[in-house]
Amino acid sequence: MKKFLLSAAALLLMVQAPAISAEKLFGQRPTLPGVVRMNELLEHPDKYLNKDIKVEGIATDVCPKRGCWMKVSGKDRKGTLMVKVQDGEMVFPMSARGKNIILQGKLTKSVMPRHDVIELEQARAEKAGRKFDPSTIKGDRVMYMFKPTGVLIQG
Amino acid sequence: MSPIAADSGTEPSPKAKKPKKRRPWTYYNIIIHRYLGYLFLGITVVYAISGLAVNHIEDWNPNYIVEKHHITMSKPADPANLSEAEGKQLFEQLQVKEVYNPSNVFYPDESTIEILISESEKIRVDTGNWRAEHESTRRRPVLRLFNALHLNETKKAWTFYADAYAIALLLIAITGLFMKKGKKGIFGEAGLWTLAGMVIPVILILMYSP
Repeated sequence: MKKFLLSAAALLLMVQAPAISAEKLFGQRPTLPGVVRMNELLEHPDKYLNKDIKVEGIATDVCPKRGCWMKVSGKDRKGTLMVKVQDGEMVFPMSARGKNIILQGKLTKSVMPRHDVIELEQARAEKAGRKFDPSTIKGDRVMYMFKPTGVLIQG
Repeated sequence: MSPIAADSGTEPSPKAKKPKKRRPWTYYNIIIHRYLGYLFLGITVVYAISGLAVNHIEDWNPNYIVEKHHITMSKPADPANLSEAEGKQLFEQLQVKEVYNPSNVFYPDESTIEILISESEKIRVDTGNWRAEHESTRRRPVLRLFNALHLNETKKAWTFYADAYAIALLLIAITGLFMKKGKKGIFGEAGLWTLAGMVIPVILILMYSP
């Protein structure tokens, strides 16, 4: 019985071991041949809407509580792509910050109504301790979000 | 002559086995309940502690200790391009010990500058009021690992173990129903306790069902 329990524990550790490697894969491994440049994607998002694409960039921020989102920037370090998954579908680690990320999935578009944008910016301004003028929000806000099927964190 | 010898005509052999006494099903019920309880005690503790921690995720961060402190920096000459001297000065003001690396400065939107210092440290500058926030994070030593197991972040073999645990929990619950001795068993006081525990979940299921 003791031997059986020890063997079962060893087997579990051996099968689990690949999860503790330097490269971390979440979901399916990105396999598409071409990579869309981040600048190109951020400048012309509508061109890539709802298409299966592969993108590469550097993670600049990760959801600190649930690991359910990640912000990724390109090599020119301007602009950011919001990568969002359902809670628990993938859990991005905080250690991804500053690492090279390869993503595969679809870019989606949504519109936040003006009153919601005002509420959001009001809350952000309060948190940051600055004044907020609702008249600076001119209209609805278009938001692009990347829904990945696979994320590879390198390094 | 002994009465036995008189009945059978021979002495019983000392090697002859006694007929096996058939054990009642309640014996196996207790055995299953007890040993599954022992086997999965450790993981039950992990799930319980992590459950408490994750339940209150809105109020605190169960995985990381996040420390923030703020300063107000002077407006840089070109807000869209922080110079190396300005970056180094900001590091000094925030008492950051790491070496400033200009290639780790990002401009995610018009009102934010972000400087990645390490995987656990960063600076976020609000260009609306030039308030700089230095954030450092570190893993909660044990709880982070408990949560990773509870939420099955590692997937792979842990999924099988967690499945086995789920089945074991079902068995522990079912066998637990029949642990009460006496004539009434589950149909007495034990049944009332069981029903009482179901009331709130059932009400919530009915409330939230479409």
